[in-house]
Amino acid sequence: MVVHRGEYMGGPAPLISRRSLLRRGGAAFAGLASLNLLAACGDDNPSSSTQGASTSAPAKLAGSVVFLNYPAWIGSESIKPFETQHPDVQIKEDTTALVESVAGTAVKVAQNPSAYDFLLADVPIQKQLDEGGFVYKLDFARIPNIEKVNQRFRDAYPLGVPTDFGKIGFGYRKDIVKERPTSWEELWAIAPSYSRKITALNIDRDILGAALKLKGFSVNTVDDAELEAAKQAVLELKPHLEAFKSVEVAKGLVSGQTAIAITGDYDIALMQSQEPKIEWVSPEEGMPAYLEGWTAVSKTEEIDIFYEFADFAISPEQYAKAIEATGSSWVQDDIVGLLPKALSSSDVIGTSDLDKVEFLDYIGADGTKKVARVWNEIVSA
Amino acid sequence: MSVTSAPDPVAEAAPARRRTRAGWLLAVPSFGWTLLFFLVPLGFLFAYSLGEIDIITFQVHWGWTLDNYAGVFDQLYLTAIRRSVLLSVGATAGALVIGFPIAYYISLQRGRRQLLLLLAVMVPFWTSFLVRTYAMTNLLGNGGPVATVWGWFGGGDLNLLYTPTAILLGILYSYLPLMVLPLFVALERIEPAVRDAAADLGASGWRTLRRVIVPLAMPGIVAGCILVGVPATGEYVVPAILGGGKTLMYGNVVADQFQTVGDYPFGAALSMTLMAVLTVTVLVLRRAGARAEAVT
Repeated sequence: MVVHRGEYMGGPAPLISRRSLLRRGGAAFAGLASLNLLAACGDDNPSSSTQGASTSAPAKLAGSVVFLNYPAWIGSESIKPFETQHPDVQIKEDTTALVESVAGTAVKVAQNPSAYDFLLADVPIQKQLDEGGFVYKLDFARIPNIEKVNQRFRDAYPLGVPTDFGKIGFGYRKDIVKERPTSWEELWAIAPSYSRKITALNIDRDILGAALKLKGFSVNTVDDAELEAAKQAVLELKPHLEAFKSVEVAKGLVSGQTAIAITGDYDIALMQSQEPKIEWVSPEEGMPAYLEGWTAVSKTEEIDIFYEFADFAISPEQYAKAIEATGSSWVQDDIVGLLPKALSSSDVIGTSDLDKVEFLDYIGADGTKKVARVWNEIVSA
Repeated sequence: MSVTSAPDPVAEAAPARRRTRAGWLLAVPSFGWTLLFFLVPLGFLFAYSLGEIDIITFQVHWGWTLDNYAGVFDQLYLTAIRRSVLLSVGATAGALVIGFPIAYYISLQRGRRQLLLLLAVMVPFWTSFLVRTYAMTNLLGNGGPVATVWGWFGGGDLNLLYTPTAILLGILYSYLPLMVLPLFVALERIEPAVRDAAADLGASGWRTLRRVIVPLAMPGIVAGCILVGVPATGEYVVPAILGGGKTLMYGNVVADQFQTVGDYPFGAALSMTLMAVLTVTVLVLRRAGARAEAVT
């Protein structure tokens, strides 16, 4: 039912994919909706950012912070060692909101900014929260290890500490697909030959992003004509898709039931560990990619703890442990030597195809509505 | 000659008042529950549907706009409603066709055998709805049992999974017990003597079923159709799992507004509209059921 990460990642137990969890909110929808409805009755005004509230670290840290994170995701493994170093600090990890929904995360923080100190957020959520005044403007001088993060990620994630990213390309079975596609265009062309043996991720911006790249447009466009072109492209592909899947998108590649899977690099890397005949493709036209990291909430009163924790968790040794546990694509080039060979030599995850990546950005409220509508039109057709 | 005094109306009214008060007190927990967890959220939903939300700050501005309701009549959403209603009607009809013979057979059994059969109907409810729905993916998938049996009879390649048919079958399977149980209750109430009388008067089995059993079971049929049809129309989980994200159902549209877009007022308007449609349908069906009850 959920994607599990492979043993090669070295984790003591299989971990749940954060992307799969994102789309698992179906059963919890009714509860989520009612809870959010009630919560939304509050009239908290978003405060303006409190940048530069503190300029020097205290000699001894004390206090507690609430960290909104995916279950067992980057940062989780750093909590205990950090608390050991700082006995008077407590980091409470809240994993409930992020498994519910994308909008749910932003709503939860926006409606109750005092409840959280920092959260894992992708670029669109971070920027949306920032527009509402919910993001703390960081003093990066307080996080010396930020210098270890590749500048490309720092530029794309300007208001927080980037932790990981994921590319949306496709994987195929080499023994089934003889054409060896290397681009979106070739994938679209051969799709009729593998009708109903192709799966795609059920995330609107990811799949529309792939179609936009196919057509030569930005993944962040909100132009009607460009979105329409992308929609038509997805509609062209849809009859040949077995399904838009929220979980286990690439699982069928292992059994051979699926010939091609349009999904994230993390998913293909996991399946490759079980079936070496799976080939990953970073399409020539480019790929949409998500980038996420830690964003401090404007109302936090424990920014010193955040600075210290973030710096500790992205120190190369600690960060390498996180990548080893999660199998995610990393944002620090220098940790490659610290990773197990299965990860460091992978041609799927990592930063090798960064030049083909365009990060999904915040497209505004109207843009979000527009994309959701286009997606509904695709599903409905 | 004995003299009987007239009953004292005041003395008689006192216990009646106490009984009434006790009745009200007993109703307080369920009334409180309904108020807190149904009526209040429903009120919020209605209030939301008339308001606007700032999608940046997620602050709701209460108001009296009907724009959200106007948006429901967009062709995209009307198509989703139509599809949901059609699938719901299909699943309800299917559940009735399959459930009626099952319920009738159980009603004819007695003692432990009847209990065991009823238990068999209810056993699926002991497992999670999600687990049962995911189990259907194995049944309906390529190479699954359904396709295998289909192949034995010379059928071609059959992959029902991630099609509207899969959604229909999933809803049918999930809600079938909700059809069987009220039908059983209605059929169980039919005296065997009624069937015997019909036979004595020369009615064939089919004629007895059509003219005697079905009319007498009508309250159960109406109740079963309501129990299956109403939740099936707003079903979200089954289409999400068995539809493969390729069939837009109304429940999914509502979920999208809340979970992806964050447009609560529009999502609320979509929900209220569906609720209004279903309420009218239930009222019509209940009226039909009441008429059938009066006849029997």
